[in-house]
Amino acid sequence: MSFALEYRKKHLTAPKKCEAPAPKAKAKPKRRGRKAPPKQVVVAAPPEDTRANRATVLGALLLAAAILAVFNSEGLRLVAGDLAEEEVGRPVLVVSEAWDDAMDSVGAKALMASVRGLVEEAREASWADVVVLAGGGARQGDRRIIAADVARGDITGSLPRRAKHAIEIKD
Amino acid sequence: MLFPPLSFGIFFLGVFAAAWELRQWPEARKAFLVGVSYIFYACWDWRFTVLLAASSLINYTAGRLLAVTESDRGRRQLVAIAIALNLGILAFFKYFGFFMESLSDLLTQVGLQRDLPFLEILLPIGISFFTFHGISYVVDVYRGKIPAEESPLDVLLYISFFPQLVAGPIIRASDFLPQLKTEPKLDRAMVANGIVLILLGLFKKMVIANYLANELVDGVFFDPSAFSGPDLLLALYGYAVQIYCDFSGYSDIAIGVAGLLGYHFKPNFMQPYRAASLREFWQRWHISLSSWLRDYLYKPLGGSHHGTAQTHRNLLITMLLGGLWHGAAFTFIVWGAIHGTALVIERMILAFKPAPVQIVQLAGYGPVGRVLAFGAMGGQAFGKALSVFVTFNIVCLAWIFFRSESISYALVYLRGLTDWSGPVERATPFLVALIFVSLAAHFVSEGLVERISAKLHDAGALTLGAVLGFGILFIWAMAPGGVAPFIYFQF
Repeated sequence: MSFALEYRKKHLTAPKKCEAPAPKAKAKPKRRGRKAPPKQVVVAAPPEDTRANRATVLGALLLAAAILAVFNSEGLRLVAGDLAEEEVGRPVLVVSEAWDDAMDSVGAKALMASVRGLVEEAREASWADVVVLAGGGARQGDRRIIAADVARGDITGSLPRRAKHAIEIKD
Repeated sequence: MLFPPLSFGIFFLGVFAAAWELRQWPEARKAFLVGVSYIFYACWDWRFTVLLAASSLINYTAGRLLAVTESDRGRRQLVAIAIALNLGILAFFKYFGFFMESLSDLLTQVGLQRDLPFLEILLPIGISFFTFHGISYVVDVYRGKIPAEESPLDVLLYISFFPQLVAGPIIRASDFLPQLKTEPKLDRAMVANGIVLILLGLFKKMVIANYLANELVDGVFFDPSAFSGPDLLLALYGYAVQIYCDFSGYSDIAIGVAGLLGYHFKPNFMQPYRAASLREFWQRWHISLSSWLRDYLYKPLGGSHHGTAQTHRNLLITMLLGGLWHGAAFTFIVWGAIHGTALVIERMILAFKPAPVQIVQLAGYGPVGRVLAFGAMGGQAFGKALSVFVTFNIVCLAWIFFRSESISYALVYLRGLTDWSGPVERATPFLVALIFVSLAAHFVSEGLVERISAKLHDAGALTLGAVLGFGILFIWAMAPGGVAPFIYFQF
């Protein structure tokens, strides 16, 4: 906005507002023998407690170690196997093997096994599997056609050449 | 000792507990951290701890002598001697064999074959990194950025601190030494950030980098003549992702571990593959090295203050030596030369580039102006996308030489990229998705990691322990078997 417009808006068009004078604060009567209460002082938040945070991290590290010991007991067994090359490490191997067997018996190793299984499936998936997934799941006839295409070599583990054609064939 | 395995976890648990217990006794804490850092280094080869100590003491002594020397000439001579000693150690261990082999080849070619002295020299791990730390300390003292340390303990800790000892980041003396003067603190942000970075680093290295190396890159680069163009291109992009995840993963773990011990390290990578120019790429890739080369090599050579020709010369020298720093081979020199040449050409193009269209001004010219502004926005966006694509492919071209065993292998690879007639064997959905998602992650918000770690600021030990424990568990479950060494350990 130009200076002229700005000046006009500020000084010539807006009516002046008359402000009423601020009312005088009433004087409070003096009380004998009593002092005024101290003003409330706002205290800044205390600095973070390093000791408490250290304890938190230590607790977290120990809990993480416990989780790994329970759900990845096989890993412990492998590390103990390396230690067992020395005489002093052999009792550790015996304990870790017993622990691994115990975790296996309660099913604690199932979590890692299922994650590994999912990753293996993803690794071994072919483009035909991706096409089927993208199509919302293949019907039984489509699966047979795709299997036949795979057997003939028309669909390989790499880019599909006839996957689209296979899906279009109906039962 | 490597970061991922269980042994490091046990090691760090003990170090963390003891280091914070010693917080009230700063000298004892520093001595303890120096001790464990030397134990960490000794796990590779205990003999090189002597070299590490010698390098640290040379730099400490140089600093003390600079503090008591007043004449400019004397101080310059001291700096020169210290730098020469540092580089001499590096040159002997890293480049002696390369030099003798190259000299022998040259003499054979000109008919002057000789039996040159043969020395089998082991490369001390991390020598390139701790040499640069030492030079950084001496030069910063000379420039007055930091005072010379009176206690050798501080210099020993700065150079040998285990999170960054073997593969960086290259921490500046002026950034780290002042932190040793104050009482270390551990706040919630450092805790949360440390845990998130450690998990992120482990995922990048153990899952992404290891799968790409095992299932794609190593096989294709071993014999590029056996693969078709599409496989070579996929492996090249795969290597770009692998080396990023491998190196930035290590940096993330190092920064996270240092943070949990109360020390702040600057970021070393900032989504480098979203760079729209080579210059921007080097502001995002291995930031600690590129800034070190800028401050201790490029600027002392004259930088960009003495005309165009000298600027270009300085850029080329800096990038050539940066390439040589990575390894004693002509492939690394070619890698540096490609980056140097590309940077020079980029500067030349930018010197003639017209000023970008001011979209806001265009929009002020009514409907026609708004249409033009919209078109200009689209054009700029397309131009930016094209710049990012071109920059990424120039970087990948250089990676061919970085990864190849020799120049001839690299040339075979380049020739193979033009042949698309063969079958495609390696492009499985898993690998393509891994590469695509990893590259796409470069374009997410830059503050995403901080926002994720902010959600853990108020978490207690139970939540943090569950996140860390199950995080590591899932990473181990997803990762391929074995522990591949970090790529930058060889530097």
